[in-house]
Amino acid sequence: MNAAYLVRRFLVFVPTITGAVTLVFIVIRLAPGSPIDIILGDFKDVTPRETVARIVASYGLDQPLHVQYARYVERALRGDLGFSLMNDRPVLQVLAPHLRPTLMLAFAGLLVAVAIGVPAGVAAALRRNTGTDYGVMTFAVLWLSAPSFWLSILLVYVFGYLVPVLPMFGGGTTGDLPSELRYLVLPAIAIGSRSAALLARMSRSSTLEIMAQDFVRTARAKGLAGRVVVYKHALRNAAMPIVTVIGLDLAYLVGGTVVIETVFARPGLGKTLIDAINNRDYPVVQGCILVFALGIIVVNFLTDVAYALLDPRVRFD
Amino acid sequence: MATTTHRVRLLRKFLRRRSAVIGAAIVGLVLVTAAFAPLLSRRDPIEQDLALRMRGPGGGFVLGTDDLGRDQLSRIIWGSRITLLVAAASIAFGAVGGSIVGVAAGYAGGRLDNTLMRAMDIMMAFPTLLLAVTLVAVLGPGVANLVLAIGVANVPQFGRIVRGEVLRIKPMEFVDGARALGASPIRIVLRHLLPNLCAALIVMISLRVSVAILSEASLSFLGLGVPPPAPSWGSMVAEGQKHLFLAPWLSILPGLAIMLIVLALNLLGDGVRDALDPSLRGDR
Amino acid sequence: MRKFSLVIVALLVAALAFAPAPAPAQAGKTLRMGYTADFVTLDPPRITTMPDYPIAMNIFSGLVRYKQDGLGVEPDLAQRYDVSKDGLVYTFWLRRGVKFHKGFGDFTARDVKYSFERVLDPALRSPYAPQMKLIKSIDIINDYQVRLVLSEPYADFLPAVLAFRPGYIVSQKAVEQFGNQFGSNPIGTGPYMVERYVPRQEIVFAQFGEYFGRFRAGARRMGGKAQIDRVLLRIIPQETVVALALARGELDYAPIRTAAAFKLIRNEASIGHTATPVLGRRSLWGMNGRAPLTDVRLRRALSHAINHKEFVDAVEEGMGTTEGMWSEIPPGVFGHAPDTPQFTFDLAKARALLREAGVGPQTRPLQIVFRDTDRAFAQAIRGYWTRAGANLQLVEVGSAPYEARRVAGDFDYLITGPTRVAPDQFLLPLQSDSVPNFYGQIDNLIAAQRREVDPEKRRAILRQIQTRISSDLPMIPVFRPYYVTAFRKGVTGDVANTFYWLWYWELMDVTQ
Repeated sequence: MNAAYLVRRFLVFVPTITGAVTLVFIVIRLAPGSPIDIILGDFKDVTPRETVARIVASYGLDQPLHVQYARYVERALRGDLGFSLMNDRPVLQVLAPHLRPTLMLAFAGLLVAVAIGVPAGVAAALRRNTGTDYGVMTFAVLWLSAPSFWLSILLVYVFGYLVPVLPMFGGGTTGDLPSELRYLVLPAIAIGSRSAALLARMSRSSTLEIMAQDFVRTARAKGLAGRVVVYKHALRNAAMPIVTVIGLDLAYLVGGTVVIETVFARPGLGKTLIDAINNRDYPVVQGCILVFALGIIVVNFLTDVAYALLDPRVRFD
Repeated sequence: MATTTHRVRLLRKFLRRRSAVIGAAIVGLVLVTAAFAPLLSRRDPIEQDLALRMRGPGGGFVLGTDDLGRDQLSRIIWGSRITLLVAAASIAFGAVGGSIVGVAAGYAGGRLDNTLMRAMDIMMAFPTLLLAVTLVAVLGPGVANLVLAIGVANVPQFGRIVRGEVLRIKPMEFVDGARALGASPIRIVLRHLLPNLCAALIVMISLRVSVAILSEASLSFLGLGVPPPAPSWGSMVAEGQKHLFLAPWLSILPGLAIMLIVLALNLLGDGVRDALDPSLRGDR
Repeated sequence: MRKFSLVIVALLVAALAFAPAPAPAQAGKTLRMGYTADFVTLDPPRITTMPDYPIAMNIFSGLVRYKQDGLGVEPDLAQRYDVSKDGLVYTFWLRRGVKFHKGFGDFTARDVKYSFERVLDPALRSPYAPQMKLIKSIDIINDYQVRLVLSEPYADFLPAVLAFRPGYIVSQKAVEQFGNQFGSNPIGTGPYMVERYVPRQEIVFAQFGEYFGRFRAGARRMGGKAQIDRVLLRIIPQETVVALALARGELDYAPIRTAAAFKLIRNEASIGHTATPVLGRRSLWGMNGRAPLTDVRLRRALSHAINHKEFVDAVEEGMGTTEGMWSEIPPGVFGHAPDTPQFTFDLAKARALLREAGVGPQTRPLQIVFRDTDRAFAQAIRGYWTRAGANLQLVEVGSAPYEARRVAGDFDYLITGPTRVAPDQFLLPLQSDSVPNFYGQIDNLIAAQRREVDPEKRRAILRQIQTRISSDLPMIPVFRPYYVTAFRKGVTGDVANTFYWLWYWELMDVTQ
């Protein structure tokens, strides 16, 4: 893989990033009322005049729309997302400490999904139409249907209360990795289970597909043990659709942190977003959504790169 | 256009999938429950009786009572109305909006197509729930805004499918024929395109309704959806949460209801998709 | 597949690599405390909410402070003080050698002048500015003597202003250095200072080594010095989880404010708890200047509609009482009048009065505004009032919009329950220049009791005021909650919470 390829791949995302930034700009202007009223909302009567003036100036609210947009993009590019109405701190400074817990949650969720979903799906395919197969598939269907917040509450009740082996709520002591990891287990299972179910279905069907193909049948006929064949050939070829699902699902995982972090009171971006919405702290809401959008775009980019790594047919030149 | 024999064949194909039939039966049951909620529930879902609070399931109350002495069973029964209403209305919004966008883009082509689809792609980059949360954040809570938010979040999904179908149908002979006979574009869309979009729309709707239900439940759970005291399943789970250790049924039972209807819709959706068009695949 | 695993591992490593430096190992006694909310601001004159105030109490000191039972004041940063006969001139002799936290210098009379004048700064928009305006001049006599001259006598000046939030002394240097971030970087002269702050997760407080020490009974019992070296305040939004963590020994101490958590700790043998009736009551403030609430029959009907006893026993799980709740000034506070009119539960009367007032299910719905913690409270009240025939709409808001709506008077009814210690503090919101359209019918009487320096004459005016309020019902009382603190058995000292939801860490001890 060369750098030029990466750059070109990334350029494809530029319109999407621009679009996302624009979307956030538009959304805040969707609601009835003047933008300053929406931004200040219930804070209108308690915000110091200086702050109001600063907000008007920084968003250019006294300017025509296109000037506002230009200024907004320019400030966003410099990382200036305005100030929180709650405590007057720069939005970026408010958001920064919450990025890590959210990233950890999303990736731990992905890990859970891959670690459970892929082996379960392959096992189901290898033992097609047996109890294992039916068991895995039934579980997958059930897990796909369970709302994640409800699953979280069940996990808390069982593993936090009935059999108290894991901490129920919070994010652990910041900076103390073992503590943070312990607090990560239940949320990761809650957020990853849906993807695990999707992956189980996906890896089952792609494994079945590959196993029916000539080269696998030939290899088996040559007398190679079934398991070795599957792991050497089938899995490698089944990886592609699995990566696709992961790519799609990572975006879902990032979005799902909003719910999971609220249930588990994890100090992440999702919880920050919900708290900011409840407090009508629109600059923070806007900043959160922007960070989420960028996160999802980065995820899409990484998926594309992973795709290229795995599939020799995707040309690097 | 589907003939009678074609329909019978589709129905047979659908009925062969046992899981789909079970799903359809459960969905039917929930529909009946919602329709006859006043007859089925013994008590008013928001009428409180503090003397009867926090009763466990069994005994006088099949599913127990909550911290204000409201009957859980009645609340779950009435909650089905809110769930189905919000899901149906928002999916209708998404389907109609998406069809307009999709037909406009597919039929007109060119720059309009490009612009619209680019916009749809950007919206699709956001997960449905995040998009809905964003919209509710700006619009404020309430049933109407909830429907609007979930509906808008669904527009791109429908828009993309419809556009694809339009592009497939447009070059077909009967459309050309109508155009040659001097039919107006509106007439072509209404008479020739829309009826042929039905299969794709039905499949998409059957797949998206469950997502809409989960979105509504999640938003209500987060306190951004149906305001109290209305019995929404999502907010019932949230309100029960503070009594989780002493009265776990308050959270667990409404969640089970959500899971059941979503499961049923998923099974039904898979069946419908396989029967109508095995090539269509739903994504989030 | 291997390459693929590599990608995943690389991503995970990347995520973990953001890790900030771990907290240093800590020696000494640590009190692990559970708290349901993060603070909004610790800048004293901007504090309006409960989660912020008790924290600020341990960080800042004022010229005077409340005595331990909350009734009356005693010197704090002042060594002694003197009030002139006419109640206009207050002279304070300041304690010497008092230091601000973290090397922000010595405390002198200049800091007093700066802190008080700062409250008046319009940019700060302090809700306490009107009270501070009573000070006509602040004269620095020397570094350790300061004189305040009031424009008119104010009977509750010490407890309502100087010992309260606006009276805390801040460091000018720190305010100038941190600017509008002072609220999260508070520098005071109190026994504890903020050591580490992870928003929405935890706040670590460390004992201030150069603290001047307070000489009240409790501190002497503790050997004259604070025993607890560090306080780890863990923010756990669900209070039932706080209760459970206490039971499992993961926390040492927590204030308990919700009925569900109270029920849990009451049943737990390993947790001790204290419960004291608050100085205040929970009630619904009405927008009485706006129809239909202008009709007193409606207000009385709504009071008759509530089954107060049932409410306390059921919705509040017995975490409160109906005793002494009918007067605006609670029992224990100067001037409490025990025999004011009461509009107790009587559904038939409620329905009749509502009909008379022409209010029914068809009239405009009355908006009840409340915070998410009061969801059960709001729904129960809605239940009672609907049964009597009123039309209600519940509006749940976050704490910041709640505060904003309270200030702007944007509600029909607002669920609230301020607790105070001085009679005048209870009456402030009822003035016409306070919350718009709330009440404002008795400005003269309120002003009269404020100026009255003779206690007996003042008591008579306060009685008149309370009788008037109780029959007019600008706020509809519901019950008097208990201050509840719950603690592991290893926590000793002054663990009880007797006023303002406060605690003094310096008066507590813990064995791990």
